[in-house]
Amino acid sequence: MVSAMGSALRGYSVTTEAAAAATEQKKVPAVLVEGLVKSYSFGRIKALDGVNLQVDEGDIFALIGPNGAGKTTLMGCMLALLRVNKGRVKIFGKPADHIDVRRVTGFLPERPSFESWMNAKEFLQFHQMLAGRSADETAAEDIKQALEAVELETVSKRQISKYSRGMLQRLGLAQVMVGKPKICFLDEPTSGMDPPGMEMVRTLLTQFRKQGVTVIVNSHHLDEIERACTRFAFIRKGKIMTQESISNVASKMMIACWAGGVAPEAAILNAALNECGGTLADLNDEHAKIMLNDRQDASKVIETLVKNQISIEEIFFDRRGLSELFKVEVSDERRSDDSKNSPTGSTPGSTQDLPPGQTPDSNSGAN
Amino acid sequence: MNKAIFLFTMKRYFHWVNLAVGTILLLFCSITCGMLQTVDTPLTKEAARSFLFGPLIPIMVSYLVISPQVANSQRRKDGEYLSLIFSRPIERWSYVVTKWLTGSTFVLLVMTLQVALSYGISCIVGAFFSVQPGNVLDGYAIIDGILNTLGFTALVVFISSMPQRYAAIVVLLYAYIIFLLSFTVGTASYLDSLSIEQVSKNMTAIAQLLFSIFCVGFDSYHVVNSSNLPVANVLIYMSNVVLYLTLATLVMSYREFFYAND
Amino acid sequence: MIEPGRTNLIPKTLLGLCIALFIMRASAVFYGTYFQKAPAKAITWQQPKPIDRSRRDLLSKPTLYFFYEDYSPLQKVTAEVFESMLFQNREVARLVKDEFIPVKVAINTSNSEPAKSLANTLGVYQYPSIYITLPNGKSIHQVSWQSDRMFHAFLNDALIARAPKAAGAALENLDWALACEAYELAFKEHAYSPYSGICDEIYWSIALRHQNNEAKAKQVLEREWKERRIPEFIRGKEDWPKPCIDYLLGKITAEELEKKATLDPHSYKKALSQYVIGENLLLQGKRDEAIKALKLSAEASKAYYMHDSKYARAQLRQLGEKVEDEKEESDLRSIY
Repeated sequence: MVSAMGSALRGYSVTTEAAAAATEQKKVPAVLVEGLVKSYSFGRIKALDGVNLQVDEGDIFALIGPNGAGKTTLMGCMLALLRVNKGRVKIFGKPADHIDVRRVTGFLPERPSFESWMNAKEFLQFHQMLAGRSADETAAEDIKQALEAVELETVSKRQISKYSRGMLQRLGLAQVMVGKPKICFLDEPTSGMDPPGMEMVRTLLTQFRKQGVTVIVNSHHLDEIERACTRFAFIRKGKIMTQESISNVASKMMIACWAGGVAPEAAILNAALNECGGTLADLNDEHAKIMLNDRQDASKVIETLVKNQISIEEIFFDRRGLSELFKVEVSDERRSDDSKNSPTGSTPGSTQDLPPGQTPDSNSGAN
Repeated sequence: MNKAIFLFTMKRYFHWVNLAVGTILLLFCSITCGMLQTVDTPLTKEAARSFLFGPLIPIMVSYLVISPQVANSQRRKDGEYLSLIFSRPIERWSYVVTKWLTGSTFVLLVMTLQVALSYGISCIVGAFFSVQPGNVLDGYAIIDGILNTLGFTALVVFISSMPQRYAAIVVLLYAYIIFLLSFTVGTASYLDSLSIEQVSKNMTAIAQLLFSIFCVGFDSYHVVNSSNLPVANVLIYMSNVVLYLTLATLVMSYREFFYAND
Repeated sequence: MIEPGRTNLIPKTLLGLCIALFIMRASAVFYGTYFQKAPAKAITWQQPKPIDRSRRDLLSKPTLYFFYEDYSPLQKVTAEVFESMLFQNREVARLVKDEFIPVKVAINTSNSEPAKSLANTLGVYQYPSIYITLPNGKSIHQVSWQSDRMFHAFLNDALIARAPKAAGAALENLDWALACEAYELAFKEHAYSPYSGICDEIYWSIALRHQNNEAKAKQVLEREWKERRIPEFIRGKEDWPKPCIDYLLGKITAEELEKKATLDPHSYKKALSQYVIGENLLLQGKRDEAIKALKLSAEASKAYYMHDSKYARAQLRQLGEKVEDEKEESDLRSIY
């Protein structure tokens, strides 16, 4: 990769002279949002209120937040499909509506509304042409691969009007792929999809990550985000509340379940964990909770436990990091709302009453 | 002009549902004009000519507006559909110009077909009566056909660039003004001496002036044979067509295409 | 404000072109208003004269009346717009100057009586409008707001329609020479135009025989019928008025013709067949028998559109017979 812009934007020739400026250009973020304000109904409804955001190239960036927080509006502004009232949006250092930005952009809308009289193949050809990729040597192959990737190759000749919601979502993803984007905006990519479809989206995000494609994803599936994304921003009431790396919130707690319900002795377990930098946090007949110094130590822990002949049936990370955060943010919001409404400040029905791993706004929690 | 938009819009025009509806219209008009052409008088010939290159054009152009609704079995919202299109490397002005040229090309194609078909029908009918069918195609007809098509398509592109609720208001307003003017000035198409003095003095001239503001039709026979300076007529036509395209681009450029603001 | 490469902005070129065109347009209107000389009136209009119903030169230039109301400035300007729309066209102006006698009739309070009576005679019901008549005031066409091209077609149409109209009028006046001339003209270039009736060649042949041109009369009947451009499936089995032609050519007798004309509830066939028999007998010198047949034709109908009865009555008057007048023909009736 010569430079962030050079690799991302077609039409920007990188000359020898420009190479000197490469170090400078490397700092250009994929998406830079500064002081963004967007309101509807002549300023009465403020959807975004001074949003500042930075997404670096190659990031798989998640936008999370409760319904009506302004996630979709933010995405619309980043795509320059909505006009901003104040502030600015730069994609690879260019205005969001710049033709060079459009050339490298892929977009999957939340509600896919396609030309229903076409079939999938025609639709992809259409979008390939729109993206200026139809003259590529691999154009036909790209369409075929995209259809295979979203598992629609067998129904590619069927009219889109006969597609189910999940199939439309898959077609939308294929449409993103045929444009060979360098930056993707995916709005609820898994909505309406079956479990294999969700798995497919995860694979696709991993693939994008490997290819260095920047992805901004707006999703309620926190589990999926935690697995595939590198960074995230939490939006509430049109403001960015948190913006950090997934690794910062990901759990360092591992749960080991004993085979046959027979727990090892605490002393043996502690001795074994001392070898690999783990600390025993809890132990009972069914499982133990092991706190790691670093998530990277997970394999060492497993290796040590096996070496010490401690029989384990299952071992996994406690995946409630992002969910816990979401729960805290949402309950904060509700508490502040309720405190405005009721002088006692009680929180009836707050998310704290929910069982662990479940959030009010997601159906995740189950692995 | 955007090749993808051109090709796929054209493909939608030729979608079988559109074709079926269009063929009925085409046959009806061709039979009417074909029969008129077999009656060998200057008047019937002129009636066939003016029908083919006059009122048929707005009818055909109007059909282009509803063709997406006809072709798409599912009802769709403009915002959702166009947000996807406009996330691609397409300038909004280029989209407008492409739609304009695509619509015009299609109407001209249909018109050519219609002229050929009506001539064919008049030949068949004429054979029974041993009558030579009248030829409606001349230089004036060709120029009028092309210019009227370009003009009316520009107007329709402007109207369809607006969100549906506003478009309906504009169409109603336009229809009302045309209706009002038809009472005041009949089927007058142009005013030769578009004089400000006259406008200040009387209603008829005001009506004429209003009509000239909206008018996108062209009457080459009138312009060529007019004793007055024809430049004003040509300029009125040209400025109106460019105005509608500019307005359409303006609306498209400032319109928000996203489902979040529905 | 307008940066290159931005997809959501309007290009300078389009905006510039739009503004430039509007400036040019405004300049043209300004020039037209203050500097352009008004074009010379393309038509020299004549003053209206009372209609002379007795005129016999029916094939001379038809009269083109331009009726407009002149009570208010609005009506006057409307008439000006109408005139400029239709008559400023060079082609139209040339045709009017060459082929018509243009007469402008303003209906207002000062000259009301003669102008109004002219309008009443011609049955004018719309202002402004154009009426085209034969020199004797017989209506050919009437037209109001039109495009100049359509109006040009109307004028050409009127020139075609006037010959059969003049021929009919000549037959009512028993002006056989004029009738022959008019039919000659009518059939010369526009044979079987919609303005030529289905029986025109019968009348033409009778006129020719009155002019002692037996050979051409026979030729007209034989040729015209053969070339008649109405397919058999429309003409039907009866093939009317072929029996009349057969009778005039001597192929069938008067009795046979009468027999073929019996099944006719509206007396069309009776009127024509008896007129043809009457005229034929008259040409053969059988005056009394001719009068008898002509009387039968005259009595068949008194409607103004029954031409054969009208021609029969004209012939009876010429022969000194006393006949009732037909119902007055309205000039409102156009060719359609």
